[in-house]
Amino acid sequence: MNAQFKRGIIELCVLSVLVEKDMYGYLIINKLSDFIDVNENTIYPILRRLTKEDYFETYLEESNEGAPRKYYKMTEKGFIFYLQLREEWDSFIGGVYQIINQGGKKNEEIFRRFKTRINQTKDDS
Amino acid sequence: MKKYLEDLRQELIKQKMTAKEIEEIIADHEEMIRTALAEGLSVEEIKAKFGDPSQLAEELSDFDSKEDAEQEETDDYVLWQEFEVNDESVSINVNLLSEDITYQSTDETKVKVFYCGKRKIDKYELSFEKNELRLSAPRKFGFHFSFNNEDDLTFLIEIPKNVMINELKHVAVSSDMELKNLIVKQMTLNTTSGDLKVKHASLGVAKWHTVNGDIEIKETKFLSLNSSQVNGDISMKEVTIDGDFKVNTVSGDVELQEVTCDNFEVNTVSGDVNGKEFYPKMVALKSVSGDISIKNKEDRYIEIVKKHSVSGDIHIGR
Repeated sequence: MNAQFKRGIIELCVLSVLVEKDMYGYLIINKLSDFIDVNENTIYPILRRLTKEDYFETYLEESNEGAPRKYYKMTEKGFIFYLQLREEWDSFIGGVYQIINQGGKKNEEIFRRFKTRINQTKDDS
Repeated sequence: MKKYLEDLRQELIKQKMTAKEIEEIIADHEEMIRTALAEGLSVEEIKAKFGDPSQLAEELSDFDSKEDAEQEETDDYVLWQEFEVNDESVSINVNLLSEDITYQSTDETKVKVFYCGKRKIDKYELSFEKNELRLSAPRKFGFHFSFNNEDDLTFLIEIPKNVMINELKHVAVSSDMELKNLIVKQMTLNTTSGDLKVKHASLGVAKWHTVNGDIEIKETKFLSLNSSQVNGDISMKEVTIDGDFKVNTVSGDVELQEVTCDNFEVNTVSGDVNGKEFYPKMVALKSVSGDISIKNKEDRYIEIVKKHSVSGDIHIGR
């Protein structure tokens, strides 16, 4: 997938998990990589950049492993940004689904129709 | 885990990130890896999950579009001494009179000191102990020391690419200094009439004092910069200062282009300050007869903490 495009989507995913509750870095990575194929080296730079832009704040909290963990917390600015991005995404992906599902939802049906069309072109020539 | 963190550190250094950024990023990764280990992940699983550190460093860098500055050719110099480095950082302490000097990075693993010129090199002191490089001009006759041979002497110091400079202390009378492609955590400069040129570097906390030396900085990052001149000029282009930027000048001009910083504090008697695409978060300006002008295309908020001028104009806007 186009790297720039993927980064944008992952940014939305990071915002989506942090809108729920404050989390530490490793947990955020797990939450995302449970569902999509993504590495730490993509997620961490996004976390850091969004923190620099004041969309997140960080604080330390003790963990039961001893050393404290850095938690990320969404700011109000981050929340507004999330709503904006979410709306853009919903309208975009809604449009994309309309386009790709125009011909009906069943793959078999689409493949059958395509096959007939291909054969027709061959017969014509 | 150690190997991953070490690799990551090297990659971050290559990207010329500041020492503070590197420490933060390393600490974050130490924490994440510790958590992963506590959850029972194997080293292999962690590797797969975290991915390639060089890619991570590239993503984290905002320097990636910048090429290294053109290096000095070592062929023009004579290699004087070289030293093995067994640490990830070194310190440099240089004390010169009128000899020009260049500091730059090298792909090799040794610290190298070169020179060029006909002066007697054996009168100079050079040592490398406890990761500190010391270079001093002859002091025997104090300030009035003069050479029989009037030839200029020029030094070139090369530091391995993956080694950070903890502290760079440079004291000189009229030596010009050039620094490129290096990471310095803390830098102090004290010269009378020597010029300073920096390109593509990360300088951490910098404190400069010159009388009439000119300063030219390009493509460089700072944590903070405190610069004081009498009548030397400062020109900066494509510079990021994470923290505060203080300038004290009597009659030197300050030219800033594509510069960002937190708090910009300038104190000038008759020197002019000219900013183009200069984005401090806050400014405190004080001038007697110098003009201060900041012209920005982007309409970012700049808080004016203090604005005082006797006969100079102060203008911030488009």
